[in-house]
Amino acid sequence: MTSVLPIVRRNALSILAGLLVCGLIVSFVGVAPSTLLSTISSGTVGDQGAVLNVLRWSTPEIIVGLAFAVSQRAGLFNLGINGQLYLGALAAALVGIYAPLPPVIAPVVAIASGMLAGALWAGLAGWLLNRFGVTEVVSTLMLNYVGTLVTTWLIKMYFLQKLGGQASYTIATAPIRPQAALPLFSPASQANAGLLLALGAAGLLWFVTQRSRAGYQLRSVGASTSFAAYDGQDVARTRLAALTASGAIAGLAGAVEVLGVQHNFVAGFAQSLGFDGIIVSIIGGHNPLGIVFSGAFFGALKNVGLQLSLSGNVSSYAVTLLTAVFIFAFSLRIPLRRKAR
Amino acid sequence: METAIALILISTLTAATPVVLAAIGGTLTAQVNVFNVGLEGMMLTGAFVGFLVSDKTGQVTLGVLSGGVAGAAISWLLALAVLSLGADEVVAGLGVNLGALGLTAVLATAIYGTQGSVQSAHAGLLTHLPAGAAHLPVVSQVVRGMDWMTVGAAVVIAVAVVVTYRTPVGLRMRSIGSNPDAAAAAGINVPRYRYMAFLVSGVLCGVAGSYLPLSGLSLFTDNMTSGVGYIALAAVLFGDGRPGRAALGAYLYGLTFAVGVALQKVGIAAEVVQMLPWVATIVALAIAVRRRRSTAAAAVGSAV
Repeated sequence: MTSVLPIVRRNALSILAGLLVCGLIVSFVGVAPSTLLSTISSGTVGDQGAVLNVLRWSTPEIIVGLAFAVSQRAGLFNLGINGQLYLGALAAALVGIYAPLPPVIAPVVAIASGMLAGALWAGLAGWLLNRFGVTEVVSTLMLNYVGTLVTTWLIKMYFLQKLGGQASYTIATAPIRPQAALPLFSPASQANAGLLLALGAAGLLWFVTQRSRAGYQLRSVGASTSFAAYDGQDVARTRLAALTASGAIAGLAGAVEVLGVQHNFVAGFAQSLGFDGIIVSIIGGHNPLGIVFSGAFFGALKNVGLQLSLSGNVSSYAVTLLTAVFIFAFSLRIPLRRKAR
Repeated sequence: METAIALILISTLTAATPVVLAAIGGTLTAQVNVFNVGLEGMMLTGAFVGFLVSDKTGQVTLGVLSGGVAGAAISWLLALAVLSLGADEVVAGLGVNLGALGLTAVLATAIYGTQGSVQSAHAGLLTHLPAGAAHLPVVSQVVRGMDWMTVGAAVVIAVAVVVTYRTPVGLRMRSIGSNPDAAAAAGINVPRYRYMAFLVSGVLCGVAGSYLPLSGLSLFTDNMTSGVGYIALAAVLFGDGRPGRAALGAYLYGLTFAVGVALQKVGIAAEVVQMLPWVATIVALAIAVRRRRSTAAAAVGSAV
């Protein structure tokens, strides 16, 4: 079994450097060091609620990390996780609102629909890559914008929430039926059964990538497309499969956010969550088990960042900045296996 | 009718100008075989710094120049990571983009004390062209709607074309692009040209970004570029190292944008209209890349 410890040890310096830069930036915009320290402790291990909130944020962070890792295995960059996540979230929300299904069945069907929507959206980028040779780096980035706009437009046109006969001001759907919701661990927090799905997905992906034939094909296409083609493998099919699977996992992240936390679809709810997947995957060494830990680390970071932005004169984009600092710090250390052109 | 055409043309030029500048910048890095994903972040930084400096000094030109300097600073950081510290160009570029998004929003909130957007009363706007050619109906309206940066963009295209095809520097850059090792063996200082390409693309992107707050409303909003840098990136791929073609891609984007604005006036949903340029860009890119691949394949076939 691939051990997680070396990944942590190898990355300790980058993590420390990233935290230091984040601390400097936050103090530069006027947060006192004592406030920062107390927010860090109250945002991570302060009480039971804080721990649960970290778990709440770890859930989507782990899932988007897994989504990126699957495409990375095949040497592809799925930078469209955000858009796939939105479509997955909308599909899951619509099933949750309109399908009269019993408990247990309802969330399963809603999640499956979310994953299908995400897979199709990412599959579009795979098709553009195989059929036309359009690099997925650009097509997935662009499909983010299209995907976000499609969901907003669909809601405004057809699914807008009605409050007392009036259309609501925020662009959001009606709430899902309670039967479709994922159960919460405790009323004190939004941490929910989605965490178990995230852990299950990590275990499954670890098995698939390390122990199965499909995992071998992913890796060989990622290492060298010409070798894989020479080996008689269907490179185009593997690439399409990698992007589709990546999109399905991104859709899962969106479905879990809707069914476990939001309980309806609010336009633009995820901000840049999908992009966190890149850094979570890198810190986790693109290894599903490592990603569980890096996802938890980012869940904690996110919770602290959100508390900071609530507490004072700090933009809600502070979390995006923290993510970026880590992406940049880590890009310097780990060369991804993408062939030079 | 004449007014409608003039409005569409003005709107095309206004939307295309920042994309043209950034796409020329990206084309320069593409020529030395570097995939510069950071255009978006350099533009956003240029937008914020350009706004900030104009707002504090009241000098629009100074704002534009500061935007260029800020873009160059970010670009240098990215160049350092990619060229000297072995960072993956896509991951580091994306880090720059997200970092610029976070940093500009955090700084805007810290400096102006509000979240979301800032309006400036002092920043001023780019100067428009004097009303010339009054006897030509559509042209005179278009000229009056243009500011000096739309003209500047055309000058930048011309300079880029001349440098690329008519100067030793352009020849060396293109030779690095087609085979870096051979270029190095021929005595070309490859890293130096790559750093230079990054710096110039940073200046162009920064200036391009500063156009956004200083051309229309004297307004800075969080995530103001909102993907325009990625459109420019697509135009770079569309042009495949050729500045003229990249600029054409940028103007096509401007036209789609302008048609979209016109469609919105006749009652088509805003989201559908905003989607148009993205979809058009993906389609144009698919056609361009596919045709290039098939000509390349045909060339290989005839050689065999």
